[in-house]
Amino acid sequence: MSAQGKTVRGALSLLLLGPFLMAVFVPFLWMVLGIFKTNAEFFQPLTSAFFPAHYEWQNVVELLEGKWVPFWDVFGNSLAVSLGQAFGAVTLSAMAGYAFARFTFFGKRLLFVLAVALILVPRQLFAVPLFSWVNELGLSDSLLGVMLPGVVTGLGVIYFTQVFRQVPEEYLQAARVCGAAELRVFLTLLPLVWPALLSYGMIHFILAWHEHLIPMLVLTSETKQTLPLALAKLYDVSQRTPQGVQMAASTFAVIPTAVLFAVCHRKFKSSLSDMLVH
Amino acid sequence: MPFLFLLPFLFFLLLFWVIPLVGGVKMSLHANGLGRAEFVGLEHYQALAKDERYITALRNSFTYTLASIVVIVPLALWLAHLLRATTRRLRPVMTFALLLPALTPPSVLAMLFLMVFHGKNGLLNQLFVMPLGLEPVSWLKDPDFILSGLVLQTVWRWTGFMTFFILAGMEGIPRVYYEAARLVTGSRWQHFWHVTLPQLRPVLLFVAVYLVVDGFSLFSGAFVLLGGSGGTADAGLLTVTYVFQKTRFFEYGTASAISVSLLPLLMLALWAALFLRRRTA
Amino acid sequence: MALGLTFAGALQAKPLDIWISSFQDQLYYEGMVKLYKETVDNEFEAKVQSFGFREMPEKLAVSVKTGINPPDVVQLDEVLFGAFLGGEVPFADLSGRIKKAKLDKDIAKSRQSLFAYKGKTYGIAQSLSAMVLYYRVDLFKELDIDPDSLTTWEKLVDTGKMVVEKHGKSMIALDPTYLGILLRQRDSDLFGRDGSVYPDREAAIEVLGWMQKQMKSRVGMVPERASIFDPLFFNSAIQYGEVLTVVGADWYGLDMLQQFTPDLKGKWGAMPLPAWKLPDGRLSRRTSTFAGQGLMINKGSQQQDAAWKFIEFVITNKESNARRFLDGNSFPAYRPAWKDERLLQPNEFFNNQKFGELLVRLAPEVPEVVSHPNRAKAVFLFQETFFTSLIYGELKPAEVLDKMKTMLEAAEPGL
Repeated sequence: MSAQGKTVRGALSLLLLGPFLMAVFVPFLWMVLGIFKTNAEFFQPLTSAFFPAHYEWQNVVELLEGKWVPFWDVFGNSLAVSLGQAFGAVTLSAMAGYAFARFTFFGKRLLFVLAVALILVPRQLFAVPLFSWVNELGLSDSLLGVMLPGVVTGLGVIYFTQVFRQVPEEYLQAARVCGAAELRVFLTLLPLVWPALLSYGMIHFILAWHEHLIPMLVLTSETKQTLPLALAKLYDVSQRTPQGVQMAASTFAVIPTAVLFAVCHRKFKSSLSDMLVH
Repeated sequence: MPFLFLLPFLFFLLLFWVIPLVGGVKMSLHANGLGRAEFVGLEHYQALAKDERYITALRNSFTYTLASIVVIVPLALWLAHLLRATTRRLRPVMTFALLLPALTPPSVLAMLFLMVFHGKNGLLNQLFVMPLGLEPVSWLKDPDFILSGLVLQTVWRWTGFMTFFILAGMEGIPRVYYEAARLVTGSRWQHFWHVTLPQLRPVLLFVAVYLVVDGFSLFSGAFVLLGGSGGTADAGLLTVTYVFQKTRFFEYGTASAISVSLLPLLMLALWAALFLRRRTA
Repeated sequence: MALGLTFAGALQAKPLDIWISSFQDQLYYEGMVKLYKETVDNEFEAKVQSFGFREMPEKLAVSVKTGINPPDVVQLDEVLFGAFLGGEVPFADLSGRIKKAKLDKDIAKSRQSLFAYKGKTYGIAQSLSAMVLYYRVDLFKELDIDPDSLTTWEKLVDTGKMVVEKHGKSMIALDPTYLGILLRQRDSDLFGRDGSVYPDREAAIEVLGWMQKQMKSRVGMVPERASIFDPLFFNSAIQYGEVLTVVGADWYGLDMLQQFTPDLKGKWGAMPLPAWKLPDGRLSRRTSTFAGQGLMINKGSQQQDAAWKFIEFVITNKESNARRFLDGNSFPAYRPAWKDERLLQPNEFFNNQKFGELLVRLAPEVPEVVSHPNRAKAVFLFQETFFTSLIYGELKPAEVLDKMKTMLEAAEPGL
């Protein structure tokens, strides 16, 4: 396709993407603008009052000062739990995925289906027994008590099984020819698939970030709560809490994470194309 | 040998999922309530088989999940296609946009959807329905529209995310395949159908499983839109919602029974999706 | 002496664990803990924790069921409290303590049984929760309506018809909680004291029919989300003057109205509810009740005495009651507090009406709420499943009632 044709296609695509971008950025803008609104303004119908009358920074200040929730503690907890879970999940699932992809053994299919099916069942099934069990393990009211159950993921197993199945045979042959042990082979494959590792880490991070049920039961102390929990307690039937505080907390949670992913994405875009050249 | 790789996963699976699962199954065989529950055997399951609301919930969840997949997958494919054509320089902005809905906390989404899905004064009605000359839709209360509202909510939330993966999958397709296809036909649609789609099968399977998880396992989607309610005439009652309603009144036995009853169903569906296709391929 | 002090200190070894349902209340209780330390017992330690309004009952239930780390004191709303009544109740029976502290004389009579069931009292009510009719003073004037003329619901509906015809506005907002509220106004309730469901069938059908009728004629207006507890409702329908009156408890007016319609300051008034004409010819009471927070002590708590002393303090202390009203907009159920001048001041928002005085006047008429393990279920059932079917006219009032009755009678714990 000519260079000119490409630009036309690009422009057209951008145009078609317009509604999608609006559907995403308008709510985001709403969330950010909500930081500055009073409760009365906040709950106005969207078409009448989208922009605040005045830009007061009080909500932000109060949030960061910890007036409503111990923000830094809570934000840090969420980050720790989500990163820990993501890291653990990627490790466990990648290894399991490799096993499922490259070996055959008795009961493989059954095991695979069982492992995945467990995550498809409503979480509430595990809630009370898990809470009990976590307590018996001495992990009640601790971040580990939330992190450890979350490193198991059937989604990850499916994902990595696919990933390792797609690695071209040549690589494996090459690695095996050198007489390397399986573990070695696996480790050499990792740099090759690291975009996948990162991608899945991201999904898992996001799911862990939003987790509600298990953290709610396991965590009790104010300083141990994760961000969604801390924000939930601001909900008041009489709506006495300024919504702007919630919006500020969410904005602080969303922006760095989104930027981080956007940046990482750039990086592994290039390594992906390296892989393709072969 | 494979067990070396499986061991860590299996260890944690056993420790944090299988053991509680046993606990959950045990609960489903005992009476409801907060005190010392007595053993009741399969009573809860028997009650469920006759429970109209349970059947409704199953049907709704199935419809909801299917609808989400049917809407999100083509939409995400199309978006990925559009994004590939746009300039590389805008990529970070695009990635940001794709991930925003997924990153937004459910508590914020609850507010947002309240404003969007509200009746006459909601954004959806004001910007789309009413300008088309139609009566404002009571998304949250009109039984004909509640499920649509739920699907819309999930589409908004996850399409970008799924697009992200499909995009990555698309970029991983070796160019040689397309070059080979071009020798056969110049039709881009054919390229898409015969090269892109088959190559994307693993990604699409992943997307489908993810949406099943959203449809059956996670409560946040239904919760942000409807609270704990199933909506008028239970039109929006999902299995997760029903489980929530049971736990709200401390009927832990019944709630566990509902969840456990889904396990064989989901395993069957999964088996079919994963292994039946292999045979036809 | 030193030994005695250390012994006393050792008695209050662990801080009291208090679980609260909202952040705002957490601030209030932290303040109360401080006050208690300053004025009563400076060795007192308590840990006040709040969880989401929806999360708290679940967390409490799981903690009770598994026996893991339950709190000592818990604050619960009466609607959610009911769910804990099925089977063994996890709260301590406070009847003895209440009598000893003379709170059986000092708490408004109707509120004493709020947390009682089968002869035992499990909690103390903190708020009077008297229902009034909030009305737009300015619109009434504009439309030439005299609030004092609305003495019965009949008269309100007649006036409402005129308002709809002549001005296209609705007279009153409708909400699913009104079923219980209006039933209680007419000496009935969702449950009978014998555990029966919707004991007065006639009354229930009449109330349901009344709501449906008002909706059809547009005298009544149902907010878009079918609930008046919707901030968007306050910001649209109420703000635009599309509806003239709302039935609500003290805190609706003091919290929600003020927050969401601040520019309507001075334009709101409160009056007693219009009365029903009862079958025997009399007029019903002119107020009702719904919801309200209470404090409970966990049955398994190791520090019940300390817990009670704190609770007693919060309920009876003059400052504490004033604070609850001035900051939290909750009118106390504790009668001696009603003499406090601060509660009886003219309220600017309400057109300088003496809001507190109205509540005191209505207090003797506030009806009781019948506790029942399925009360929460009944409330949610109507609210979530049947209210909209009723108002969309898909089901007839008798149908709705019979369906609900069947479902509730079959529900556990089936008492």
